[in-house]
Amino acid sequence: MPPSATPGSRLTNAVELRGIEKSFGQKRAVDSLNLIVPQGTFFGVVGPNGAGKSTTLKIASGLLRPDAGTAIVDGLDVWSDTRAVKQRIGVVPEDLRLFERLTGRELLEYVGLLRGLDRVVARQRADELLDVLDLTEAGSRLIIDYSAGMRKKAALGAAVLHRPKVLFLDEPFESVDPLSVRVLRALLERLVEGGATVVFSSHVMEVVERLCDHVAVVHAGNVVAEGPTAELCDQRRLEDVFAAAVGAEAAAVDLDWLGP
Amino acid sequence: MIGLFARLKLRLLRNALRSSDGALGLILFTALALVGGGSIALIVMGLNDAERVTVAPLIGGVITLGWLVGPLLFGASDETIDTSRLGTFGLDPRALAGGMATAAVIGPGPLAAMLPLLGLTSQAPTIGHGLLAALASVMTVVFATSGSRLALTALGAGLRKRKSRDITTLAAGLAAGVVGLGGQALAVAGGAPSIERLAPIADVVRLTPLGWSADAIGRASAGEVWVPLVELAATGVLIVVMLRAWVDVLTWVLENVEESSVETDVGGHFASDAPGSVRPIRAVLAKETRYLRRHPRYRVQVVSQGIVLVVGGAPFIAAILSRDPQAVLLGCIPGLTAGVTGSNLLGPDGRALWAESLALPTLTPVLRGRSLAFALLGLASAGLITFGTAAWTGGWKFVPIALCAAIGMALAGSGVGAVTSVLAPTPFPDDDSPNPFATNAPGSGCLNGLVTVVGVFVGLAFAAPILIGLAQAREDAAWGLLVIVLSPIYGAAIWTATTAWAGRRATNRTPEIVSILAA
Repeated sequence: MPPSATPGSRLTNAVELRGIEKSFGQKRAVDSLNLIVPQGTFFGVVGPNGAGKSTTLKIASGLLRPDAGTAIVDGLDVWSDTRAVKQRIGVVPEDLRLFERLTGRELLEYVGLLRGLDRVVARQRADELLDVLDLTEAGSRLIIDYSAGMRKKAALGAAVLHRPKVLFLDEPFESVDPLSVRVLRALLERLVEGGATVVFSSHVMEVVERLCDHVAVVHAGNVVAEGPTAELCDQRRLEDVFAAAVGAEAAAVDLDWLGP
Repeated sequence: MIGLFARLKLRLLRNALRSSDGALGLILFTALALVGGGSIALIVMGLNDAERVTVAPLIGGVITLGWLVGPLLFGASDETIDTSRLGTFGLDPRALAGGMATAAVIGPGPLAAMLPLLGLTSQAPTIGHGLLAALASVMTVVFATSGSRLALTALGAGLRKRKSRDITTLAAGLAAGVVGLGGQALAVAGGAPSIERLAPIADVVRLTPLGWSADAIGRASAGEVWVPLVELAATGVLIVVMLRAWVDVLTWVLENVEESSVETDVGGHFASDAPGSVRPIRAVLAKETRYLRRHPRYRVQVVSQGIVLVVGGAPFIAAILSRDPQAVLLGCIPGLTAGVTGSNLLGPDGRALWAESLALPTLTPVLRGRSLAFALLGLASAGLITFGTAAWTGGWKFVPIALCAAIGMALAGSGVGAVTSVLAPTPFPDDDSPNPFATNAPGSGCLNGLVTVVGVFVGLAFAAPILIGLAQAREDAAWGLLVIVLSPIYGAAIWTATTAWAGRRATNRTPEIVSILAA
């Protein structure tokens, strides 16, 4: 594995996780996990429920302290250069908790101001994002009144407002309607074209296959397969690759009482 | 259903003991409640017949009101009152009521509440009187629980809409404040507290349903029979009426589980048109002021500040009524309570703390902005009371002293609140939870209450120098000048130091705090 380059240098890895371990009580959620995310990629993390995807993303974004291992983002150690790392990343966690009593517009402007944006810039970017995300009309309503899909879009807007270098998204397309998915995809692709790296987890294999140039399959707290999507799939569907990697066979449901 | 709910309640308590934070809160609460209940039991066991007859209805009234108002103001640690979780199971409302009532009397709080009643019962002169007192004790508990559950179920159904939730919270807070004020005023009017001077209050309470069954305990323990029997019969009728009403309300609630909130168009911008950056603390403060207006939990804190204010000011009613100019100094009391209302700054929207933690290099501005919002809230109340009492009493010369003392105490108190918020962050339940009374997890309500109490005492300790100065300033103008000059500086120094410490700790422990608040 190539060593992490200095911050700001070209061809560095956007994210490097080495020997990450995390347990919750007796349960080992992440077990000696190693993951390299090249800079400027659209990186998908897939895996079954409880595989450790969300835990991994939380550790990489500094929201969860690992028991062991190192997390490097844009060449900076997440736990020793925390402030610098925060300035470079954007996050949309799976368990979406936002400031429920702010309106969508207020949320974006608030985050923009906290990020140190000029007031005019914060307001302008908030309005533009609301427009792109089709939330202009809902922008004056409280977040608590948003649907799940609208919350995802608002959270994504807040995450990209400061133009992060690395964006972590946990199940960004869940609960989002197909038209909105297209909008989100376009927004994320624009971000990657601008040199940013997008790391996201998803259960939707089609989306990952279509969107990501790199994929990692996580199972039982570890990476069991990873690489460029085309190489990993090698003429197969990602779903098949995924099933083979985690050792899943077509399950026979042996519940007679449900019916023949 | 009764056995099922009893096991459910015991399981919930056991699970609370398994979580570190919940266990701490639950154990401390249990210890305090049992010591408190046991102490009262020992005291009443040492009283003579007449004294027991006096205190019995008061004890019953406090137990019933506590059961009713406690969950409303401080959140319940009891998930078995949450009917919204039961609506899909097709349960019989009568059976459910039986189960919920059973669950209501299991736990450290009910056990502690029963101890004083047992103390009264134990003094009965004969076995027959003892049985009568025991029956009255059981009926006191049943009356309190059925009344409490009826009110909570009905309110829980009505309060799914935010506006009605806010109004009811406000009304309940004011009611609790009035009760506290009335009790204090009667006690003050009678001079130094003693059991004899509680008699007028007891005479009022025993005429109300709140005191019937407890009065029966006191009278039975004093050897009476017929009056207790009449009181128990009346209480029994009332219990039946309340249980029937409760079953009706439960039936409605179970058939109308989903009642979404009404969408509201709030509008407005956060960032102004003027160019330039904004210090994060100003942005946080602006957000908090919006939350004070919009968030029910914040309004509960505002109401609780009002209650503390009313109860705390009650002993000085005589001074206010007699137009004593020194009564203006009471205006500083809201400053003293700022720390109480801001003792859990991260609770109401703590689940979104991750967003602030990612956007800011440290969490110090978050804590400072939030604590400042509560300090300003206290100062607004201080201003109203100070100018109001000055206009009433003509004591305008005390206005600057009261306001500066309030500034000092509000800053010191809210700084202490920032520390308790970081040391024991307590999450509130989901913002859109249909149950407005539940805490996030069993035990968390106890922990929050205990942290608040500790914060009050620490806040009082920090405010002591200002209070000493105020006492001197009543007679000595030089002390008044000292209070005016030094109080704000002292308070600002305490606030700066405490919020800086809290900010450093919160920043260093951000993942842990975010995890606790997201639980």
